[in-house]
Amino acid sequence: MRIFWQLIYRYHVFLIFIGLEVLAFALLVRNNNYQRAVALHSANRITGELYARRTAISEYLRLQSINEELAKENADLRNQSGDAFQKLGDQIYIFEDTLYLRRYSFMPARVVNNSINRVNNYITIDKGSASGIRKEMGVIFGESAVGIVKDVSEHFASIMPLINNNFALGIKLKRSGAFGRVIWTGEDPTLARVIEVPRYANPSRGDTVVTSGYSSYFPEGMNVGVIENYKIPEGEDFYEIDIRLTTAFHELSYVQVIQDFLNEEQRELELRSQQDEEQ
Amino acid sequence: MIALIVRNTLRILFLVLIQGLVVNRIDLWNGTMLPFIYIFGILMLPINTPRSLLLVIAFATGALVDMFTNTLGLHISASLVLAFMQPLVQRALSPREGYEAGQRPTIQDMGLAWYVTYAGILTLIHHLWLFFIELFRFTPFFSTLGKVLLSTLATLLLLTIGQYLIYSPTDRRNQ
Repeated sequence: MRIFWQLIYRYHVFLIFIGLEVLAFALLVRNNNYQRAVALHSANRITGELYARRTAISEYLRLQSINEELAKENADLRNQSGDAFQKLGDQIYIFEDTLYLRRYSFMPARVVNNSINRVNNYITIDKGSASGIRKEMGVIFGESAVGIVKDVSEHFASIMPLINNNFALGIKLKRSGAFGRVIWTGEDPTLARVIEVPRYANPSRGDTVVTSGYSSYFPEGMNVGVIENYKIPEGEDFYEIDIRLTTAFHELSYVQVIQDFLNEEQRELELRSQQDEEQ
Repeated sequence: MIALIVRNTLRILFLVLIQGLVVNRIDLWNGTMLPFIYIFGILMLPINTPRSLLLVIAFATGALVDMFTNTLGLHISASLVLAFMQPLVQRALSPREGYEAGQRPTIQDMGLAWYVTYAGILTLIHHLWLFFIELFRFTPFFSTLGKVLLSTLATLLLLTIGQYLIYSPTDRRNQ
């Protein structure tokens, strides 16, 4: 027994090292899977505040380019103001004159922290649960997809952008309507890859890739990127397409969070038909 | 003794803030060169710091840095490796008569060649661990290795310049 304690004492530094390292890895893996380490998170209060202050300073120096972005976005929005509504029916006119049912609402938010050079990037915005932001809401900038809300605190939310290794999103090619999935290759924040596009899709360089609207995160037709290169790897049935992302992640300063009022209804219905089938 | 603890704690907190608010924004060539200057706070701890204390300090420092980058565990893990290797590197580089009492691991006390070797080896270990653990796999190997080497150079350059700025050559009381 004495020898045992002597051994422990002799190697105690190494044992402490291994113990702490295991703890670090446990945190790392847990954090990678769920993106929530509640206390130490950039959506948490302290760093959130600090980031907001830094942004207040750096933003002042960028006012001109921000103005240009906003002016451009205003013009874009004016051109599309009907898009937030969904037509209810062709012949049935419901009383109270509700020809259109509101489906989406867009909430502006300011980007207070933004990483683009990591493998798993995140964006922090200055709106949280107090402003009605919930997990899994889509985030756009102008007409292009940015990411999905991953974590929410009272006044901040952290967003998993397209340029995160864990991100995947259903898309379609605007011209041929073929579906696929976009993932990030992990190296260049301006490039991504579209996979699972079937052979008949017939893509060509310069085609636009847009959100499919199947998922409840984004409305249909939000820009994702433009095709740069495509090929079918030998022995496979699906295209591998390299796209240039529409969103300029390195200069995001304002984004819009999308609330989908019909999301719950759609999901409930889909779940119900699934259950019916299983019975 | 108290002054020593206060000075080292403040130095680490200051470096973590600078790292989180300023240096993390440095983005040279799409993230191929990412300096991590906060390790300076660990490298500058006194040579006779108990090894277990060193590990605990590294854990705390890493956790603080992780708060800024949303990567809880990543910098903790890399800092621990650094803190574990640091005394070993110091022993390997020790002068024939051993270290004098109160000698600091600085350019002023140990000379430029010693310092660059010391900081260089440990920065390289830290960055290798950090970049590959962040990737969590070994592909793409060479582009990541390139990032590691470039970032090590950047960090080392900043640490060496920082030494000349922070420490005065004559003031031996300021250990």
